[in-house]
Amino acid sequence: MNELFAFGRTSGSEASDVSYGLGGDMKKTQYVLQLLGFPGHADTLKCLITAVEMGMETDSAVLDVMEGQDESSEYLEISPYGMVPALKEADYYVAGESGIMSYIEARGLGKRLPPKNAALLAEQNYWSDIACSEVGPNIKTLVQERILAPMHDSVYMMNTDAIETARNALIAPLDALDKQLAKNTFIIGNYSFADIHWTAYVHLLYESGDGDLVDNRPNLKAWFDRIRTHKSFSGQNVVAYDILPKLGDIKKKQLNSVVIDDF
Amino acid sequence: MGLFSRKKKSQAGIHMRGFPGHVDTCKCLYLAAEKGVTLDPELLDVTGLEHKTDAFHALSPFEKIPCLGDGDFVISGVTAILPYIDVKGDGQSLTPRKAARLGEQNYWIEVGQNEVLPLVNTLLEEQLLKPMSDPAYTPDQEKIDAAVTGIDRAFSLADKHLQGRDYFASDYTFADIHWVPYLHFCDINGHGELVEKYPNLKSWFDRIKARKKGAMSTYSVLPSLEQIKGKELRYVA
Repeated sequence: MNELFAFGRTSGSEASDVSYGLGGDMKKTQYVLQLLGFPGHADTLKCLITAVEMGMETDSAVLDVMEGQDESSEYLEISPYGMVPALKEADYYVAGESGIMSYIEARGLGKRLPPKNAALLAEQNYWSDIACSEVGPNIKTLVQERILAPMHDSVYMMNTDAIETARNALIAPLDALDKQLAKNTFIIGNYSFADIHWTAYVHLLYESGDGDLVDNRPNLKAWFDRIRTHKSFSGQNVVAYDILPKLGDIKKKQLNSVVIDDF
Repeated sequence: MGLFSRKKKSQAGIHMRGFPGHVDTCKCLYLAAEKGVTLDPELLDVTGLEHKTDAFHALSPFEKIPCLGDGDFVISGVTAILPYIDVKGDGQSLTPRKAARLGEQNYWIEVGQNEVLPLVNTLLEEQLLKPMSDPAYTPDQEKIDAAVTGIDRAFSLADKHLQGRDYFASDYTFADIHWVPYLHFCDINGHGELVEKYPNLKSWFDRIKARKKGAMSTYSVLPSLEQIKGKELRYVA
């Protein structure tokens, strides 16, 4: 076993036997996932949200990307391109948000998250794509400049030009989403992967101190207020927003696990 | 429309604006052929910056290419268009049902999009598109060499993964759809050796080239070098 995954309830061989049986087969009633990620990293947050929404218990541990742990030989064994986060269940490993989110969703409890209707499926993916390509890189800049770089260097002088550029680049996609949400409770109507992608980014906007970009847009703000109290898609009495790392958690490099009590 | 006048879903014409030298456009063309979806393509001349026009912005505000229209429904970007074609087309969905294969499919899509696509685009830009716009353009050999080195690494990892597998996620999935144009563009751009040197990847590519929908080779819908230079986008039926 890769030592980076030596944490959580299934790390010992005895515990693994209890959870999965000696045959190593995976059953939905016998799971505990392990997630290795970083609290200031949007893709890690998306995977945690997916785990809560799909009712999948997940033990989390921090992969310290600020110390280059994602470039270590041990991590590259799991993820040759250093894609973060990484997930393990029994003998199965997968890295990167896209692989992990879809894996958790398919392993999850209850109905499936992706819409069956072709147009809604396309819309879900369109808004996920806009989040990843137009929003993600700018959130990364804001988190880096306002939170991570000062953690690394207490006298760090923020690059105000980079911050301003990132904030300006967010105007068009945030305006577009605000307009889209004028007619919908969630991004494409029903809750979908699109909401998970945007939740991670909007949450980090608040934690970086850029929440005004959300507060200024009434439909977007109302959507995020709904997200903050949204109970698990799979029906468990747990709210994904509650386990997302707040500013203090990011600074302490702490990541919550997903614990579900009401099966 | 009455019940008996309903068109078979794969016979309803779908309109798509794209460019033959654009990787994501080719992913959509290829999937349409695989799924038997009639696709009516229209050239979006990105070398003439047509994707920067107000008319295109009205359809695709973030300049996502290609852009698809089906009746009143308009959507843009490969991530959205591929599943749309998949659901509209013939046969079972390409999305695997098993969690592990779904994870594997999406892992290889992400590797392709993050690690291979930008490098294939560099080769296309330097060796094909810029010389098309400016015949006096001298390709940047350093950029080309760096792209070839990066693609070679990705192909070697894909080759290792494909050992003992027919397709990227064992079954034929969206991961294969994404990777087909990467190899196709390397091949037609004079870098076929990047595929030839890896036996498992080459076998996979040979299997792809042998795939048919009815009597038609699905691989044959991908544009040739001459078609790209002539800005010719094929009709898929």
